[in-house]
Amino acid sequence: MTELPGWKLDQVDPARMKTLALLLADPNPIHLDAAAARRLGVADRQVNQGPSTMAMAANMLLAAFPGARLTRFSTRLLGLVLAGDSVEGGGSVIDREILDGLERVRCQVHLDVPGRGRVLEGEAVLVLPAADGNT
Amino acid sequence: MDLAAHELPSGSARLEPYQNWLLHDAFYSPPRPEPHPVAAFVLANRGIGISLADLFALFGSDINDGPLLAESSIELHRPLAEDAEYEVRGVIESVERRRSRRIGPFDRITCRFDLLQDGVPAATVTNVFAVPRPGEEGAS
Repeated sequence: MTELPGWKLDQVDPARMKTLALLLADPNPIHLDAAAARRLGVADRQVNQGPSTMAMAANMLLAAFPGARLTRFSTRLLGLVLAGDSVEGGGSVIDREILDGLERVRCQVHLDVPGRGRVLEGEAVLVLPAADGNT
Repeated sequence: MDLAAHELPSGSARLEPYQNWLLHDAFYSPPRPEPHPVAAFVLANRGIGISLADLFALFGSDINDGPLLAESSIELHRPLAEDAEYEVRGVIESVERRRSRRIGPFDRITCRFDLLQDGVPAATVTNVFAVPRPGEEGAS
Protein backbone atom coordinates (compact mmCIF):
# COMPACT_ATOMS: atom_id res chain seq x y z
CA MET A 1 0.00 0.00 0.00
CA THR A 2 1.47 3.35 -1.07
CA GLU A 3 0.99 6.35 1.19
CA LEU A 4 -0.06 9.61 -0.43
CA PRO A 5 2.12 12.67 0.21
CA GLY A 6 0.95 14.66 3.22
CA TRP A 7 -1.15 17.73 2.51
CA LYS A 8 -1.90 20.84 4.56
CA LEU A 9 -4.01 23.99 4.32
CA ASP A 10 -2.72 26.58 6.77
CA GLN A 11 -5.94 28.47 7.33
CA VAL A 12 -9.57 28.16 6.25
CA ASP A 13 -10.64 31.51 4.83
CA PRO A 14 -14.16 32.79 5.68
CA ALA A 15 -14.14 35.11 2.64
CA ARG A 16 -14.04 32.05 0.36
CA MET A 17 -17.11 30.68 2.15
CA LYS A 18 -19.03 33.80 1.14
CA THR A 19 -18.09 33.35 -2.52
CA LEU A 20 -19.04 29.69 -2.34
CA ALA A 21 -22.39 30.50 -0.69
CA LEU A 22 -23.25 32.60 -3.76
CA LEU A 23 -22.06 29.96 -6.23
CA LEU A 24 -23.97 27.23 -4.36
CA ALA A 25 -27.08 29.39 -3.82
CA ASP A 26 -26.81 28.27 -0.19
CA PRO A 27 -28.37 30.84 2.17
CA ASN A 28 -27.40 29.05 5.39
CA PRO A 29 -26.06 31.87 7.61
CA ILE A 30 -23.61 29.63 9.49
CA HIS A 31 -21.33 29.87 6.43
CA LEU A 32 -21.48 33.67 6.33
CA ASP A 33 -21.84 35.09 9.77
CA ALA A 34 -19.95 34.02 12.90
CA ALA A 35 -22.66 35.63 15.06
CA ALA A 36 -25.31 33.47 13.37
CA ALA A 37 -23.23 30.34 13.90
CA ARG A 38 -22.93 31.27 17.61
CA ARG A 39 -26.64 32.16 17.91
CA LEU A 40 -27.67 28.81 16.39
CA GLY A 41 -25.35 26.98 18.78
CA VAL A 42 -23.36 25.46 15.92
CA ALA A 43 -19.91 26.96 16.41
CA ASP A 44 -18.13 30.13 17.46
CA ARG A 45 -16.94 30.84 13.90
CA GLN A 46 -18.23 30.45 10.34
CA VAL A 47 -18.65 26.82 9.27
CA ASN A 48 -16.97 25.71 6.06
CA GLN A 49 -19.38 24.25 3.50
CA GLY A 50 -19.25 20.48 3.07
CA PRO A 51 -18.35 20.65 -0.65
CA SER A 52 -15.43 22.95 0.19
CA THR A 53 -14.07 20.38 2.62
CA MET A 54 -14.58 17.72 -0.06
CA ALA A 55 -12.69 19.91 -2.51
CA MET A 56 -9.70 20.04 -0.15
CA ALA A 57 -9.48 16.24 -0.25
CA ALA A 58 -9.83 16.31 -4.04
CA ASN A 59 -7.03 18.90 -4.22
CA MET A 60 -4.79 16.58 -2.21
CA LEU A 61 -5.49 13.71 -4.61
CA LEU A 62 -4.90 15.82 -7.72
CA ALA A 63 -1.64 17.08 -6.23
CA ALA A 64 -0.56 13.49 -5.61
CA PHE A 65 -1.40 12.47 -9.21
CA PRO A 66 -0.72 15.47 -11.48
CA GLY A 67 -2.75 15.37 -14.69
CA ALA A 68 -5.08 12.65 -13.39
CA ARG A 69 -8.87 12.81 -13.72
CA LEU A 70 -11.00 12.15 -10.66
CA THR A 71 -13.90 9.93 -11.74
CA ARG A 72 -15.37 8.72 -8.44
CA PHE A 73 -15.24 10.40 -5.06
CA SER A 74 -17.20 9.27 -2.01
CA THR A 75 -16.89 11.12 1.27
CA ARG A 76 -18.23 11.00 4.79
CA LEU A 77 -18.23 14.32 6.60
CA LEU A 78 -17.42 13.56 10.22
CA GLY A 79 -16.91 16.95 11.82
CA LEU A 80 -17.07 20.68 11.24
CA VAL A 81 -14.30 22.68 9.63
CA LEU A 82 -14.34 26.26 10.89
CA ALA A 83 -12.95 29.59 9.75
CA GLY A 84 -9.32 29.90 10.78
CA ASP A 85 -8.77 26.14 11.13
CA SER A 86 -5.76 24.48 9.64
CA VAL A 87 -6.52 21.21 7.84
CA GLU A 88 -4.17 18.28 7.30
CA GLY A 89 -4.72 15.39 4.96
CA GLY A 90 -3.38 11.98 4.11
CA GLY A 91 -4.31 8.73 2.49
CA SER A 92 -3.09 5.72 0.60
CA VAL A 93 -3.42 3.88 -2.69
CA ILE A 94 -5.45 0.71 -2.08
CA ASP A 95 -5.75 -0.67 -5.61
CA ARG A 96 -4.42 -0.17 -9.12
CA GLU A 97 -5.78 -1.56 -12.38
CA ILE A 98 -5.43 -1.02 -16.11
CA LEU A 99 -8.73 -0.46 -17.90
CA ASP A 100 -9.00 0.43 -21.60
CA GLY A 101 -5.26 1.03 -21.60
CA LEU A 102 -5.38 3.60 -18.79
CA GLU A 103 -4.20 3.12 -15.23
CA ARG A 104 -6.78 3.68 -12.51
CA VAL A 105 -5.86 4.10 -8.88
CA ARG A 106 -8.26 3.71 -5.98
CA CYS A 107 -7.34 5.67 -2.88
CA GLN A 108 -8.49 6.16 0.68
CA VAL A 109 -8.26 9.72 1.94
CA HIS A 110 -8.82 11.56 5.18
CA LEU A 111 -8.69 15.11 6.50
CA ASP A 112 -8.05 16.14 10.11
CA VAL A 113 -8.29 19.41 11.99
CA PRO A 114 -5.41 19.36 14.48
CA GLY A 115 -6.83 19.34 18.00
CA ARG A 116 -10.37 18.39 16.96
CA GLY A 117 -9.80 15.19 15.02
CA ARG A 118 -11.00 13.67 11.81
CA VAL A 119 -13.41 15.69 9.69
CA LEU A 120 -13.57 13.69 6.46
CA GLU A 121 -12.98 10.14 5.27
CA GLY A 122 -13.39 9.06 1.72
CA GLU A 123 -12.49 6.93 -1.22
CA ALA A 124 -11.66 8.01 -4.75
CA VAL A 125 -10.83 6.62 -8.17
CA LEU A 126 -8.51 8.56 -10.46
CA VAL A 127 -7.61 7.85 -14.07
CA LEU A 128 -3.94 8.59 -14.62
CA PRO A 129 -2.79 10.35 -17.76
CA ALA A 130 -1.53 8.18 -20.60
CA ALA A 131 1.97 8.64 -21.93
CA ASP A 132 0.55 11.13 -24.46
CA GLY A 133 -1.05 13.12 -21.61
CA ASN A 134 -4.66 12.12 -22.30
CA THR A 135 -7.07 10.67 -19.71
CA MET B 1 -45.76 12.51 3.24
CA ASP B 2 -43.66 9.58 2.08
CA LEU B 3 -40.58 11.17 0.58
CA ALA B 4 -38.87 8.04 -0.78
CA ALA B 5 -38.86 7.97 -4.59
CA HIS B 6 -40.17 11.55 -4.65
CA GLU B 7 -38.92 13.21 -7.84
CA LEU B 8 -37.62 16.73 -7.48
CA PRO B 9 -38.39 19.35 -10.12
CA SER B 10 -35.70 19.34 -12.76
CA GLY B 11 -33.78 22.43 -13.80
CA SER B 12 -30.51 23.47 -15.35
CA ALA B 13 -27.22 25.09 -14.46
CA ARG B 14 -24.21 26.50 -16.21
CA LEU B 15 -20.79 27.40 -14.87
CA GLU B 16 -19.79 30.55 -16.67
CA PRO B 17 -16.04 31.12 -17.05
CA TYR B 18 -15.90 33.77 -14.31
CA GLN B 19 -17.88 31.48 -12.01
CA ASN B 20 -15.49 28.64 -12.80
CA TRP B 21 -12.57 30.91 -11.83
CA LEU B 22 -14.30 31.95 -8.62
CA LEU B 23 -15.19 28.36 -7.76
CA HIS B 24 -11.60 27.17 -8.16
CA ASP B 25 -10.49 30.04 -5.95
CA ALA B 26 -13.19 29.27 -3.35
CA PHE B 27 -12.03 25.63 -3.41
CA TYR B 28 -8.33 26.55 -2.81
CA SER B 29 -7.55 25.32 -6.32
CA PRO B 30 -5.51 27.22 -8.96
CA PRO B 31 -8.04 28.55 -11.51
CA ARG B 32 -8.02 26.71 -14.84
CA PRO B 33 -10.54 26.19 -17.67
CA GLU B 34 -11.43 22.64 -16.56
CA PRO B 35 -13.95 22.83 -13.71
CA HIS B 36 -12.98 21.39 -10.35
CA PRO B 37 -14.43 17.86 -9.91
CA VAL B 38 -16.51 19.06 -6.95
CA ALA B 39 -18.12 21.59 -9.31
CA ALA B 40 -20.56 18.73 -10.02
CA PHE B 41 -21.92 19.24 -6.50
CA VAL B 42 -22.32 22.97 -7.12
CA LEU B 43 -24.07 22.44 -10.46
CA ALA B 44 -26.44 19.90 -8.90
CA ASN B 45 -27.20 22.17 -5.96
CA ARG B 46 -27.84 25.20 -8.10
CA GLY B 47 -29.44 23.51 -11.06
CA ILE B 48 -32.09 21.39 -9.41
CA GLY B 49 -35.48 23.06 -9.73
CA ILE B 50 -35.97 23.62 -6.01
CA SER B 51 -34.06 25.91 -3.68
CA LEU B 52 -32.05 24.46 -0.83
CA ALA B 53 -34.41 26.13 1.65
CA ASP B 54 -37.44 24.59 -0.11
CA LEU B 55 -35.71 21.20 -0.27
CA PHE B 56 -35.22 21.26 3.50
CA ALA B 57 -38.83 22.44 3.90
CA LEU B 58 -39.86 19.39 1.85
CA PHE B 59 -37.89 17.31 4.36
CA GLY B 60 -40.02 18.90 7.10
CA SER B 61 -36.99 20.82 8.33
CA ASP B 62 -35.66 24.33 8.22
CA ILE B 63 -32.30 25.35 6.84
CA ASN B 64 -31.66 27.04 10.21
CA ASP B 65 -32.51 23.93 12.24
CA GLY B 66 -29.27 22.15 11.59
CA PRO B 67 -29.73 19.69 8.71
CA LEU B 68 -26.25 18.36 7.97
CA LEU B 69 -24.63 17.04 4.83
CA ALA B 70 -23.39 13.71 6.17
CA GLU B 71 -22.10 12.02 3.02
CA SER B 72 -21.60 12.92 -0.60
CA SER B 73 -20.54 10.90 -3.63
CA ILE B 74 -19.65 12.26 -7.03
CA GLU B 75 -19.35 10.13 -10.13
CA LEU B 76 -18.02 11.92 -13.18
CA HIS B 77 -19.06 10.05 -16.32
CA ARG B 78 -17.16 12.55 -18.48
CA PRO B 79 -15.11 15.67 -17.75
CA LEU B 80 -17.14 18.73 -16.81
CA ALA B 81 -16.90 21.81 -18.96
CA GLU B 82 -17.23 25.50 -18.21
CA ASP B 83 -19.97 27.43 -20.00
CA ALA B 84 -21.87 24.20 -20.79
CA GLU B 85 -25.56 23.80 -20.02
CA TYR B 86 -26.38 20.92 -17.68
CA GLU B 87 -29.86 19.58 -17.14
CA VAL B 88 -30.24 18.53 -13.51
CA ARG B 89 -32.69 15.83 -12.45
CA GLY B 90 -33.15 14.76 -8.86
CA VAL B 91 -34.92 12.19 -6.75
CA ILE B 92 -35.16 11.46 -3.04
CA GLU B 93 -33.94 7.87 -3.05
CA SER B 94 -34.54 6.85 0.55
CA VAL B 95 -35.43 7.99 4.03
CA GLU B 96 -34.20 6.00 7.04
CA ARG B 97 -34.91 6.80 10.66
CA ARG B 98 -31.78 6.59 12.81
CA ARG B 99 -30.63 7.74 16.22
CA SER B 100 -27.33 9.25 17.24
CA ARG B 101 -25.97 10.15 20.66
CA ARG B 102 -25.11 13.63 19.46
CA ILE B 103 -28.29 14.73 17.69
CA GLY B 104 -30.85 12.15 18.89
CA PRO B 105 -33.42 10.87 16.38
CA PHE B 106 -32.77 11.91 12.82
CA ASP B 107 -33.74 10.97 9.29
CA ARG B 108 -30.99 9.93 6.93
CA ILE B 109 -32.28 11.26 3.61
CA THR B 110 -30.50 10.23 0.39
CA CYS B 111 -30.94 12.39 -2.71
CA ARG B 112 -29.53 11.60 -6.13
CA PHE B 113 -28.90 14.28 -8.74
CA ASP B 114 -28.12 13.45 -12.37
CA LEU B 115 -26.38 16.01 -14.57
CA LEU B 116 -26.90 15.63 -18.31
CA GLN B 117 -25.19 17.54 -21.10
CA ASP B 118 -27.12 17.40 -24.39
CA GLY B 119 -29.04 14.44 -22.96
CA VAL B 120 -25.87 12.48 -22.18
CA PRO B 121 -25.09 11.64 -18.51
CA ALA B 122 -22.18 13.79 -17.33
CA ALA B 123 -22.20 13.29 -13.56
CA THR B 124 -24.15 11.80 -10.70
CA VAL B 125 -24.10 13.40 -7.26
CA THR B 126 -25.56 11.50 -4.32
CA ASN B 127 -25.98 13.47 -1.11
CA VAL B 128 -27.01 12.08 2.27
CA PHE B 129 -28.49 14.58 4.70
CA ALA B 130 -28.97 14.02 8.41
CA VAL B 131 -32.17 15.80 9.38
CA PRO B 132 -32.75 16.02 13.16
CA ARG B 133 -36.19 14.90 14.40
CA PRO B 134 -36.15 16.12 17.98
CA GLY B 135 -38.78 14.45 20.18
CA GLU B 136 -39.86 11.95 17.55
CA GLU B 137 -40.01 8.25 18.41
CA GLY B 138 -39.40 5.29 16.17
CA ALA B 139 -35.68 5.67 15.88
CA SER B 140 -33.84 2.38 15.57
